[in-house]
Amino acid sequence: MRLFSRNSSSLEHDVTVVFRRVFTWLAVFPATWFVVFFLWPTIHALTSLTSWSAISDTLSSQTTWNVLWFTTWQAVLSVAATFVVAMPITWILARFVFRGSRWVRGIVSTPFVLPTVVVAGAVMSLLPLRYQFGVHGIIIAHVLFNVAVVVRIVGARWQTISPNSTSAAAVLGASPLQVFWHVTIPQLRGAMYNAGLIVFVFTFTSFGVVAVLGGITRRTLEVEIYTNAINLGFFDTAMVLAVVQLLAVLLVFAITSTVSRRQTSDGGTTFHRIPLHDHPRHRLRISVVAIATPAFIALPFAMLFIKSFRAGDTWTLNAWRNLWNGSLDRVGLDIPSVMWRCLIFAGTTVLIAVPMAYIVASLSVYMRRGSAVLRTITSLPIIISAVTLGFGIIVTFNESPYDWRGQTWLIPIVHALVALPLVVYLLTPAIQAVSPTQRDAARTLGASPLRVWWHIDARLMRTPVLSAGALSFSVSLGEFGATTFLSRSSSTTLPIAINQLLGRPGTSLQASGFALAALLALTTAVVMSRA
Amino acid sequence: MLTACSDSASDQNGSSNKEVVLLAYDSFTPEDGVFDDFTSETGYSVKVVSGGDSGAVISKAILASGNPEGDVLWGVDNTSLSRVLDADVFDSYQEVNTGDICVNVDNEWFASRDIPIPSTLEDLIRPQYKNLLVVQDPVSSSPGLGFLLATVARFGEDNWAQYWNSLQENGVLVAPDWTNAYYTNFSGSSGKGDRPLVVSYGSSPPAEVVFSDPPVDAPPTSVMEASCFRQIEYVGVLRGTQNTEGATALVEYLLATKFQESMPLTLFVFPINIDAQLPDVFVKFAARPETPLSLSPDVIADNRDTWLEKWREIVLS
Repeated sequence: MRLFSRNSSSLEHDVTVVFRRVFTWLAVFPATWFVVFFLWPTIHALTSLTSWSAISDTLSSQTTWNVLWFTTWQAVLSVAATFVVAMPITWILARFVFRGSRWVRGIVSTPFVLPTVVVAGAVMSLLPLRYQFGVHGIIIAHVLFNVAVVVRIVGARWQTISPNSTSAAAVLGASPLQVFWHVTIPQLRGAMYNAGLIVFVFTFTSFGVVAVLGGITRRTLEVEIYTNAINLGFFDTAMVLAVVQLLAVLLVFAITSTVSRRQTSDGGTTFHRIPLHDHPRHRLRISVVAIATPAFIALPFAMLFIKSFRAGDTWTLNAWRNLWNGSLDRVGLDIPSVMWRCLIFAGTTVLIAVPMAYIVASLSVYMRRGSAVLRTITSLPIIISAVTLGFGIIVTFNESPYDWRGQTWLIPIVHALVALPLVVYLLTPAIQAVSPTQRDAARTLGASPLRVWWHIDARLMRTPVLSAGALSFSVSLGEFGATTFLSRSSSTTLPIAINQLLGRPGTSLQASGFALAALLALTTAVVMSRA
Repeated sequence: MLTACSDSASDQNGSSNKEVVLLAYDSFTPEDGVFDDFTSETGYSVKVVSGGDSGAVISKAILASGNPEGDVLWGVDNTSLSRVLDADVFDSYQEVNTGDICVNVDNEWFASRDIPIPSTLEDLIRPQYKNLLVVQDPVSSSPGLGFLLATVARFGEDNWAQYWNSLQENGVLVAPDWTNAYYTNFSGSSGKGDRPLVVSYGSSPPAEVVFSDPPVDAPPTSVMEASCFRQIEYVGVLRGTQNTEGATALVEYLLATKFQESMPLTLFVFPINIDAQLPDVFVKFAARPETPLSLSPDVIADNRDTWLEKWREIVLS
């Protein structure tokens, strides 16, 4: 049905035409925001800080190619490992309801929005000492991070596949594996492609995880960019590497975009999930996966909790108490006001990211062509190295009245940029799933396009919009990339505070760092389980 | 959010003369109210603007050289001074504090095994101390760089590489950053690591006392004084500031006794001002070698990249 509305203009629905026009006009807002706060500064940084000699030196250096090679293969391996771990739990969450299924969903989604330093530290504390640095830790952390992407994106699609299609095949004698391979997978292909692409982008541009767990031997492009820009002061080399990283990801987008065109959609019927106790055949297996996967994901975070209650050999609440009683003032951290400020940042991020993403997603659904290009452009904030945007803001917004360096309001704006691609990915299928025939029926009965939107779209989109809000809220709470480069006056965020506490000698500070990380993890789990 | 936005905008345009902006790294955490006296004496309020670690703050200051984000910069040390001076970032600058980067020791580990605590850099390459030391990557970590410079200062341009070969043979572990080295690999703090020697600061033992839970009278760690490399931190007036008068007054205040005396327990460094009194816990437990290892900022600037490259070759081979 959706293919109809998009591809054959002669039969196009009247409301679709109106919506296309309206959302094209509304696109002025996200476009302006995106160009001013993202494209302009990053392009400015990339062009003004580089030099011809840096380009030839960097491209002729063996190190560059070694790093690019490692970056690529660890990303591919991470994507594969993520799917292996994530597919069983995705199936279960898409097909069954059971006691605690909401919490399972919350727990597997939590690491995704936690600051990488926390996840990397949590994984490291569980690895045997001799395996601490190297590729194993990197892959494990990447899987922990990205299971959520598969659960969310593939799961949403899985719920729209009719259980009848699989039972029909089973009745005709297909084994469960054959059913999965020949009936389910072809229908999931588009969603798996989307999820795979996001996981690839995240692991290809991975910084915190690799910086901590890679030791000194394993380095991705993003780590190399940071080292050159921040530790060595070779801005030009850093910018060349940033362009190499950008081009590599765009190349992957281009190669794989042929796959994405083949995706289909059924027009958005979501099938009810089956209560698990009605389904005794797989019950044992399902229960094992439903317990094992969140346990694997939660284990490193459980360690954070345990450590936050330890002092020497005893159990204590001191680390948690110290978060509130002002004893961290000595290290310049007023945690209650940090929390309060972060909630305001997160709320503001939601108010920016969700409407902007809604307009972009609607446009990509209603526009006749170019939606792939639009999607690539909106993905840029998670592809471009965080250093680039940080530097871009320094070299761009430096003249009055545009001297915005160090302005606090830049923080939610940047958070919303980071959340934008994810929220667009989340909203697009939901908007696609709204049936044009339903809108037409309402239109025929005399409703104005605005009323059609209000009574049909707005009603059907309530749940996806709430999910989008929860996602952007959590992204803001945990953002530890671009924000760390922004200059800010008394506006420490939670991840920065955690980093500060774990970065000083003194056991009580460290325990409070763990407590704060655990609190962030818990808050995120609660928010994400509602979404 | 909107109010916050318009407030800061009016700060910038309307009353910029009455405010001095101090740029610093994230872990610059002065005592609450430490600038109150400055405000009542001069009429200037102080706004501390932070953004990242010292590397990030310095990189941004270099990018903004001549059109700075603030008036005064805190966070340049003797390993980065030349980089900042080459980019002409400062109008003027002064030494503001000193500290030492030293090998820290888990006292209990050595006592319980009846092994003498190593006392010189040469000891660290003896078979008796095999697999006991964890250091940081000097490329990304400032204590890591300090320790590398300590070995250069001690063994000289010609022999430091040989020393690192021996360290490598003796099982030195290189961690990516201070946090992991100190809390994960080192056995002496809260970590359950298996290495009783770690590169940290001369002031880490007093910090172990001040921030300990449960409280302790003496630190579980001590410092190997012969390994200490002297770090000097600078504060400077940024070239291009619109508020030279306020900036100069602030630098003066940062060098005066009151602020200098607040530094040991908030930033864990030693005052540069000789009139400043040290807190007891510092006098008792902080290392203060009389003749620390040191190198001039010029020598560091001229050779740092070569040394780092050489170091990577040794350690990665």
